[in-house]
Amino acid sequence: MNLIDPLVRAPAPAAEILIRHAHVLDPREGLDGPHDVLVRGGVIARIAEPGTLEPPDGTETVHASGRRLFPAFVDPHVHLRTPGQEHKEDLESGTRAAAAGGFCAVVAMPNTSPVTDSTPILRSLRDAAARDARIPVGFMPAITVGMNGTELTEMAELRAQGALGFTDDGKPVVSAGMLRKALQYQRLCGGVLALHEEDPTLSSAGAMHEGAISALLGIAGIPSISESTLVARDCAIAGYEGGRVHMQHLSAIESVQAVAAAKAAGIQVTCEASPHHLTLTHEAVRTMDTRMKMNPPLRTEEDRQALIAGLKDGTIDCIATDHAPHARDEKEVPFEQAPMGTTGLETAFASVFTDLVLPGVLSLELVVEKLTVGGSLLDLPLPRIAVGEPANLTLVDTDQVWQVGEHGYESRSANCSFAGRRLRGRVLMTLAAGSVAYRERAFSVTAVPTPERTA
Amino acid sequence: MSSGSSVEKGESLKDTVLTLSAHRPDAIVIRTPWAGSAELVAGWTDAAIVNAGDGKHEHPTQALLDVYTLRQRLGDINGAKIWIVGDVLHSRVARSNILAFQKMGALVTVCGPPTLIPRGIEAMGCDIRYSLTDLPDADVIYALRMQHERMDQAWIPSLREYASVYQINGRRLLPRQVLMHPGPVNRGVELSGEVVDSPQAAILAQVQAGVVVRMAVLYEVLAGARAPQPAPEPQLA
Repeated sequence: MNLIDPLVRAPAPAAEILIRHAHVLDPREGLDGPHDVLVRGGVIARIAEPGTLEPPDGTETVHASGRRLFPAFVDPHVHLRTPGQEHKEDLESGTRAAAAGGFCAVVAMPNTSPVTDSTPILRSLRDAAARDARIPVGFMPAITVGMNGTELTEMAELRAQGALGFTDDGKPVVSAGMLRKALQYQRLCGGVLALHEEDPTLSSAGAMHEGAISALLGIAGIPSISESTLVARDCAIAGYEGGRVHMQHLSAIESVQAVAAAKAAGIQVTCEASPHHLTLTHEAVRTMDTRMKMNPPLRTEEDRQALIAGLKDGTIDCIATDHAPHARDEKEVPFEQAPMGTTGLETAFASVFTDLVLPGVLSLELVVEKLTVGGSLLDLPLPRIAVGEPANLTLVDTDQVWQVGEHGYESRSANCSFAGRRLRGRVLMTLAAGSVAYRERAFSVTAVPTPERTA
Repeated sequence: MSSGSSVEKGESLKDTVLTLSAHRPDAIVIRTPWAGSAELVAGWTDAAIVNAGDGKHEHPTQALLDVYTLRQRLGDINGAKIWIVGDVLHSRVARSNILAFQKMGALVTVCGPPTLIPRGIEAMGCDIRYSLTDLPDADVIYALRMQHERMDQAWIPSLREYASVYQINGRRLLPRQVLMHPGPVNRGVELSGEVVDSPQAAILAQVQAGVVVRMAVLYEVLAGARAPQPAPEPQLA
């Protein structure tokens, strides 16, 4: 099938930047140490010993001594809310938030209004992204029309129009037969099926993890088995059809076990975990703070530990935010009435770095790997720090402490489960697809080369 | 705060509370179908908030009046074995009473159909039973109201079967046991008629206690907490 580039963004000037003395970390490229990195025409032109490169004319110099330079992150799971819910987020604000979080590409979910389930909607979205998106955005249209679970979208035509893959995210594909048909169609048109796993007959009216705290609060629970049973079922179906599936936002230990078993059986399944599921538990819901309400819900410490172990042993392939913005008045209601979701793009690195890397739970290398690999699971190119590659870079100050939300958010919405937390690790600058997509306000840069301290 | 009110017309809880607060009330008594509402609205108003029931979460004044009633009956609750029987899953009364009875030193057991006992409730420190076999151990039996709509949602097979397994009746209620119920009673479902009318029943005493306890709560939030300020001497013109 003749495919067009699934990533779209607004035109932006190609970066001409010399980043000097940054501590470059790209585990896959074997880079871990201070280097100068020269970007010319948006492409990584040279990587050299620190302090050895001089900026060509018209090149901006960034003094990055003591800062970390990573391949920029890729988020395979965000909600940008366009079309129809622009009061929560739009392509501009959402991609600005992503760039501020160090991301060079994001993949938008189709639970918009109307649902992204047809070529005209996909085409208009790609047109809008070509005007508004600060970083490249990929779109995953719905698996079923209207995400109603009853008829397949025109998957082949959607793929030809740039659909990255397909998902009914926000809802499960309840019917096993329907999922099987989509997997059969995948042989024709390709594209990974990303699955939100939840058996609605088990999750029912649940609003939080079913356990000791839901019992105490009298709030209907979402049992872990509502997720894990569908993960296991859909792995089996994917195995039978030889299809490729990606399990979204795993939250429960039983789900991690189900994916591990499927991988061991050779089934083509990948999966993700979110920063909030990796760092928070249902204890955070005790106060009925609606920012802690998301689907799947925050679960127990045992579940959280299983997700961490899954990241370490490779069962969980990547970290994805499931960035889910909601307007203030939508979240300023009693817990049970509030919509599900937390924003996450701007805090993804800092939350994981603060709560998991600094205490020594995860290595920085592993976190960088898991934050960058998400797109490649959906066949997007991997951001790499290598000569000749487009500049997809994020410069991070891993010593800077900042308070989440203190100066507002780049996102249009403020429903962040880390709001008020003091986190360590601040993104200073992001280059996406060869262009500067974000600069931290207080981060001073100069186009005039100045004498460099030797690091 | 629902029927006939502005909430029913689509006004948000926040706007309702802001509007009420504009009248400068000293206290707002709030009952809603949503857990956490009372605490939530307390952040939007200077008025004292009395939680009169928030969803399936809590019903604190019911717990206070139940403790008051029990102390009048038993003198001391410390060490008393109290069984809460019925639909614990959907009961804010159960949750508040588990906390209140335990705070007073009682040993609480919850008992009901397994579908109506919330998973994880033992973390509140209570025992769980699914049958009334050990009910004779109880000093106090607190029966919960069985709502008919629970049957429609297939929580239980039938009210008839529920009654045969869980109804507190003359065969099951011992003379030394105290019987309580938050009302209104479904005679013939969770309680048989004869136990409602028996001397062990404290149900009407609970209703009476409701008046004095809620008067005390209102006194506390209206006057008690603000009492230290002495009234200024009247000034003669």
